[in-house]
Amino acid sequence: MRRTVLLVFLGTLLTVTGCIKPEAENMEADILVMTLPDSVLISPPSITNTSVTAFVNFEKLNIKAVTPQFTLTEGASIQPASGTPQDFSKPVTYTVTSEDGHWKKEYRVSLLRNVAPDNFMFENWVINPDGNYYIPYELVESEHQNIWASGNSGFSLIAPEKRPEAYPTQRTADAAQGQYAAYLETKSTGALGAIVGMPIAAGNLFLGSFDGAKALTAPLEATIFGIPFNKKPLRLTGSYKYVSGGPVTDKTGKPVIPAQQDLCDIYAVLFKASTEKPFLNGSNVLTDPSVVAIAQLPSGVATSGSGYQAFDLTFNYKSAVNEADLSAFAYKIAIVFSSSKNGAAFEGAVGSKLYIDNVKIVTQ
Amino acid sequence: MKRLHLLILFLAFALETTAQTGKKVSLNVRAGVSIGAATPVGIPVSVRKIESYNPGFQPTVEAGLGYRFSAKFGLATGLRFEQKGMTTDARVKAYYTTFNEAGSNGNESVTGYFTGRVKTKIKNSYLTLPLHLTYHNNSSFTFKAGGFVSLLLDNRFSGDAREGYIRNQTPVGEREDIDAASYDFSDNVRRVNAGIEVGTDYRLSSNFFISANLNYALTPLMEPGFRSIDFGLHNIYLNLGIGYRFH
Repeated sequence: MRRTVLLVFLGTLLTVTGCIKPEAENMEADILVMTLPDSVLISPPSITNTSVTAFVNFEKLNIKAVTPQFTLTEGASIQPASGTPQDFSKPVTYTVTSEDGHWKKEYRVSLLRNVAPDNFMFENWVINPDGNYYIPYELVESEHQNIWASGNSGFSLIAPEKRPEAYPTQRTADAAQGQYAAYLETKSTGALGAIVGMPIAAGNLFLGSFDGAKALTAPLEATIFGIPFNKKPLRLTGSYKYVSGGPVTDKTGKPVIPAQQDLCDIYAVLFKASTEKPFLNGSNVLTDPSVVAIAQLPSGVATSGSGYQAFDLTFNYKSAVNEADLSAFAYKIAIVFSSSKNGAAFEGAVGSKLYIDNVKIVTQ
Repeated sequence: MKRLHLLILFLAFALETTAQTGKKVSLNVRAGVSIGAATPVGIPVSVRKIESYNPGFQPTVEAGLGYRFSAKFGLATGLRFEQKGMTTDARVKAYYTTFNEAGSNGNESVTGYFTGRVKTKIKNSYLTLPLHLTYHNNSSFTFKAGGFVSLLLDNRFSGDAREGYIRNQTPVGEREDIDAASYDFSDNVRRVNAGIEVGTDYRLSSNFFISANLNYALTPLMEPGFRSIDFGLHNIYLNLGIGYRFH
């Protein structure tokens, strides 16, 4: 009897719930890989959710007719089609459509010339449409270069509010020179950040890219440092002011013992990139064997008064620079600013504020 | 729901008839366990594989009352304390959901399309009023069909999502890898659960019997307006038990 009842029950359950349905068509629409001839690329392309940026050797291609190939989410399609020549003297907008046809995403694909800028005024800012936050860009011979990145895209997912001014990294009109300066503030990530052991987000800004997907699972690897550089840097100069948010708290949100006041950090690193390790990240940027020189602010304590102070940091060389490799863009430079020195380990003080303006890399 | 109302009316009418004719009344107590699930009607396409299912221990105790208003028919009601729950682990693709956490500024949440594994733990306690029409023939079986109304006493609906990633808001939103993120929808479970029930009792002796009941909730498990799971969940449970009838 019980067996019959069980069979009737299972039969009913199956009728009601049905079986696992055939897999639906993909809804995602990502560019996974962009391929260009190897000789043309100076560095692997960096791909975010809505942009692809690659440094290319302008001498080795006709920028008005470049033919990139794209690898997409399975079943997705792209317009203009992969493998058709495009004029990349300006960024090209590609539209990726998901396999099921219901979702579209626009990518801004930029091929940047091998002329890295060496002064940064933080005058040009754009709002990232994905997360509604500010990011600065550089103009090099009227070319729009998206070479700065921040952790804002990681913050956007768990952010309690999504106004540009609510993000850790933004612009300010309180500038040392010109109209704007970069403004970094250590923020609380709210209840969601606390449960993943990331109660704070330091304001950060660096040359490189941010892999937002890794923000929660491998935050140190999410910050990808370095852009190609072909000159020998001697000094990093600029203007800054820093307001410490007070006592540093740890991953659990409790004050660290012994008590510490929050510090800021400003540094630049020159490293020799390789095919295996084209970039450094938060876990190795100061310690990797490929690091050739470091210039770092000796003490990140609060600046006195309410005005900007100058910094002038010398690059300390650990090994000699090979001139031939330097001119062939084998070296990369990273400049990193953070409103909490140990922000990468989620230690800092909410309310620490770092203002940065008028930054220059003095080269030989 | 209309049908349920009709059924209750019919049973109420029958009850009155019985009272007038003064037929036999019986009392019984019963204990049992439930096996089942809160499940969508038709597995949604976002669920790719059920990795595991554990019915858990879901006890029931019931005090029942039976009336025989004719040789073959009667009706039964009672008061039942029961637990309905289970734990499942499923592999999902583009499963629309919300992770939430109570914070100082109220409930903070992340909504989007999750691909990965989702574990769901449900344990709801109900005080239930069943109402059955019973059919008696000369065999040891009694057949029952009717409905039930349950009041939620205590509940848990929680779980976690892991080994995957979420796309923020839409399937083309910013991608964020997720090691493990928890959710808790306990506050969104409806206070009242009602549905239909069929079952049978089998007499072992003049006092003891075993029983099997299958019940299906017509009302959804979650409150109206609940959007964190994009399909309706309904309780469907089989209850197996042993009872004692007083004469």
